[in-house]
Amino acid sequence: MQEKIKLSTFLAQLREALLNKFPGIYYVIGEIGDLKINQNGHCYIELVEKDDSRIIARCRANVWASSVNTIFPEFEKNTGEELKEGMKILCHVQVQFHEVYGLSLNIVQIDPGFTLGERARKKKEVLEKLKQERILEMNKSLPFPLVPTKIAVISSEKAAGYQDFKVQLDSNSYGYKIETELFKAVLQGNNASHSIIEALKEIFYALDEKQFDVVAILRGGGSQLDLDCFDSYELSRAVARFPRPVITGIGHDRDQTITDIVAHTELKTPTAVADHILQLYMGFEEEMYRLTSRTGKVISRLLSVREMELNNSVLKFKHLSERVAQSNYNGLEHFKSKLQGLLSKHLAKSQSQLDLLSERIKSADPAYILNRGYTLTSYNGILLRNVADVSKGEEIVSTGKDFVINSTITSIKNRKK
Amino acid sequence: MNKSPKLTYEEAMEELNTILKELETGEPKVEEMGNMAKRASELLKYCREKLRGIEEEVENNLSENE
Repeated sequence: MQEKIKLSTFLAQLREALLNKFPGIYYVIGEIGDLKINQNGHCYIELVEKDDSRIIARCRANVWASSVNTIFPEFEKNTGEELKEGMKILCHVQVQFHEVYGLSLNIVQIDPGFTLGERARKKKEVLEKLKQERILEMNKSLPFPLVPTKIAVISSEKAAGYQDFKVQLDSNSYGYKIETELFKAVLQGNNASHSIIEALKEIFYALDEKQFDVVAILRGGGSQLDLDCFDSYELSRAVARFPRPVITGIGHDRDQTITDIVAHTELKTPTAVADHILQLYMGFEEEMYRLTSRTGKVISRLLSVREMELNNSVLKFKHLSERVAQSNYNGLEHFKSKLQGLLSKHLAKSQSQLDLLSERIKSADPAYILNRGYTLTSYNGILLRNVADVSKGEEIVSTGKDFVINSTITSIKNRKK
Repeated sequence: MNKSPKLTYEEAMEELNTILKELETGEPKVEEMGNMAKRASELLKYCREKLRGIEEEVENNLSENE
């Protein structure tokens, strides 16, 4: 028969057995189901393990105030995250068993490396999922407007970030008028993801009416430790699929969130977003100015080329017409002298013909013959041509230049030629 | 500028680029060039005013006074 034993004794035995079996420090992975810090600074955590959403293990844990002051800040510094419900952690625990309070684990250290690894793993999972759905590049592939004219802003109104953004745009020194409309949302805490998605929906339904061409998600200041929501699958999916380019300026020093990755443009802070937008306006204006200026220069150059061409043509024409006139004149002169030449030749020819004729006439003149000493013989008043017409003893007359001789023929002889 | 529907920034820049291309590769007549210069100037002015919401202001003032 078993010995009867008091509860306190039984529990004390249990405790001893437990502590004998589990004396040291153990590395346990669990999820924070609940976390409270009481006024003494002690932290009470409910550690759970879930299979999907079903709790399959649960245990109370605590962190003594003194440890809280070292572990918690160290953890936050290394992970950039705050310890909160839902977070999976690797803790170094000591077993505690109290007869009244039962079993609990004393957490002496929480490993930031594990949480970082967990976060990286979850991010990788989300990215894979988005990649498989082929939406990773969807928002990035949307055309970004040359000049964003109407910007839908998702931000917390009170946050300094949005206020600075608005002031920067409203009072820019170039006089640009940039329209923005705020869609309020909560950007940290557990409800952030859902809140931002609701804002995106609101903007989506207002697209037809308001014609927003860009969405900006701005988070300024605030805790650096509360950016988990931007790694969530639901939020990053909503941003990836949004039909307008999304710019993020969620102000974090940590590594890129998934929302940043899927957004069209990622910038560091709301101020950087405002700068970027102003740059677009400025760049556009400068480009327009440059093009107009160049147009003016090209036209100017073309006109002076035309003018030069025109002047050249005028000059050419002038030279050409002068040459034509000159050659016409030369031709005429040439013709003239040719003509003169011909005429002279002709005249000379005629003259010599005339001279010849004149000579002939002159030489045919009897006076010319008589002048040369010849005499004309005639008988009975007729020129003696045929010697048979006269005979010896007849009277013949010889006429000379200035005399006449009467003769009587004494003898006639024929002359052989 | 009375153009309806109103030119977008993209359209204005595209038009300006077209003018420039025509000047540099086409053979515009002298009369055309004058028009091109005028249009380029108009486009620049339109965009500058639009960036500063000036047209809107003018329109708002007009409708207020009606």
